[in-house]
Amino acid sequence: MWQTILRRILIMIPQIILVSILIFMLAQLMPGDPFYGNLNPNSDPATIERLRHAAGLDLPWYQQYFKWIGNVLHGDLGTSYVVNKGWTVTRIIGQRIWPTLSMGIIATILTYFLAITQALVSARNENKWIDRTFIVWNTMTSAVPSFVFYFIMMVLFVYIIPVFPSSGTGIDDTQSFFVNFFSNLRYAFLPALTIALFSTNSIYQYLRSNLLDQQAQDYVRTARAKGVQIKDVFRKHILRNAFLPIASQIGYSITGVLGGAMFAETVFGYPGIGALFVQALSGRDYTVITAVMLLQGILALLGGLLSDIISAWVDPRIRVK
Amino acid sequence: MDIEVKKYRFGSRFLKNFWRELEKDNLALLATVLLLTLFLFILVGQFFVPKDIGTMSNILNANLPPLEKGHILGTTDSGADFVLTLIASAKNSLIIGFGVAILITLISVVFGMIIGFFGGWIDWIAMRLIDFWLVMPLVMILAIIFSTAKGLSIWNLILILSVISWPANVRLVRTLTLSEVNRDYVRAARISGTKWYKILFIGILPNISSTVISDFALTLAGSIGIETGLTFLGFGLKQGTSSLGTMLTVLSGSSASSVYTQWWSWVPVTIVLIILTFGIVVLGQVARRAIDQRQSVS
Repeated sequence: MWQTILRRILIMIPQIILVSILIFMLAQLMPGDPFYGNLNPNSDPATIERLRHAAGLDLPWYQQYFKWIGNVLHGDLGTSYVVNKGWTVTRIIGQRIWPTLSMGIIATILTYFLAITQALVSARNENKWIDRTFIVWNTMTSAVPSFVFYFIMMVLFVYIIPVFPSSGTGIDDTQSFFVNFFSNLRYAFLPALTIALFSTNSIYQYLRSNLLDQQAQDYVRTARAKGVQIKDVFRKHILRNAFLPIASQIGYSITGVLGGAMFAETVFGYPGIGALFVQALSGRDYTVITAVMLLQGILALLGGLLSDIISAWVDPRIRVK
Repeated sequence: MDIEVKKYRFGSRFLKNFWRELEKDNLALLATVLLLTLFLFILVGQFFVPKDIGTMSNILNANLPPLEKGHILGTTDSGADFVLTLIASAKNSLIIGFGVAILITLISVVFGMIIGFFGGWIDWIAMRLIDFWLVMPLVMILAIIFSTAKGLSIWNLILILSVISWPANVRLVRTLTLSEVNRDYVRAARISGTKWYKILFIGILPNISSTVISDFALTLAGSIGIETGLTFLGFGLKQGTSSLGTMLTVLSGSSASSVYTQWWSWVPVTIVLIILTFGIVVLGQVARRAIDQRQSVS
């Protein structure tokens, strides 16, 4: 077990280096630099040159890369030039990450809850109308771009039935943690529920076909033949076998949280990391963009690691000898 | 005694099966009818779209509500007729979707079959790269690339989308090929000295085509989704080229309440998007069943 994990972590090292190079290349792709749009048009070219020199923008790319990596390893992600002018990126991200995290965690829990419920109902009622309804619902939500549904949910639950606030996070730095926690819950719940409602497809499909496969196995027939009730067979045998592959998916769902948050946070006006990324892109705030990308890249790799560890843990056949 | 060999014209059996599958599935029939109506609407409607619809600005008529001054669904924020803009946008989104799906399917079929068929170190390297690429946040990478170029033409957008998002499809085709490579007919063809490209394209490709086609439909709907999503956030197409996403951009701004007060500015776009993407995926599934009759609905 430990060998598997160690091996998996070693594989991550070249991956992290690749990710950092990729992100750096993307940052280099961006034309101009953050100073151009933000200076007084009358300012002296020499001043601009001095600013660029101070930020190290006149060095060759490989020197800039190593400088950037060195800074990142020291925890220095730079200063924002556009989004929150003058703030360090660490401070901005530190402020924005909690809303996204709370939304992401609620969304993940709800997604699993909804998908598992739907799959169980479907598998117990194969080919009946409720099974077909769930299949059609999941096909539709996976086919149609999800931000379309966000508008509908927004209009329904913010304007027509005003149960949820329209924008903001409900977090106030002056309040205590518990006050913030509960006020944030009210703001985070609608986006989280919306994400969950429309992203059940992959887990649902996977679990449903797993359940149907397991139902047709010999051990089910044996159990039924000796007189075990079908609901007991379901609970004690079928579910355990069918859930194994689902458990390992949870790592990958972490990866999707930030990417999906871009749309949900923009539509619902919920200022987290996703909305920050969109803002930074529009304003060409390099330091923020690279930092968010780095965060997402590392989260993605960690998610993959978590998934592999979980699947090695629940299924010994996968472990490396 | 003569043995009568019944000859099928290419596609005739497919169309017959396709129709039979549609008759069995009311939902698919509905999706097909809606999709065809929409296609017809776009096809005919594009002749009424003025050339300068993306660049015109008629501030006096901007943001009219429906049924005012002869505009059935009102006007956009630049004063163009909403229905005509919608037609032009849907056409652009469709072109992008089809362009990306065709390119990706071509890449994935050729590349996926080759690495699946030959295996070895090519396969190993390709799979490591693909696995790595698949955990990357592709939507975010696309957003960065789109935002670096201030406005892309439709064709550049197609190219970039295809180059970034092919790995999942290649992996699928590779898996499909791997399951075919050890079948007897492939071995027999190999032993008898058939050239590899003949085995791949005449032998294996027809056997994996049902999945490739439904994957084509998924990719088509998916790339329409990614394109509309990113243009909705404001990255991608250049000024003057509209797509279903750019028509919704108005809503991503600060005036969130306009989602409610100006519902006519997004509801029609949403309906078109839902019909397009959902219809395409459903049709892909029907086509898959029509090709591979083992999966037919009983």
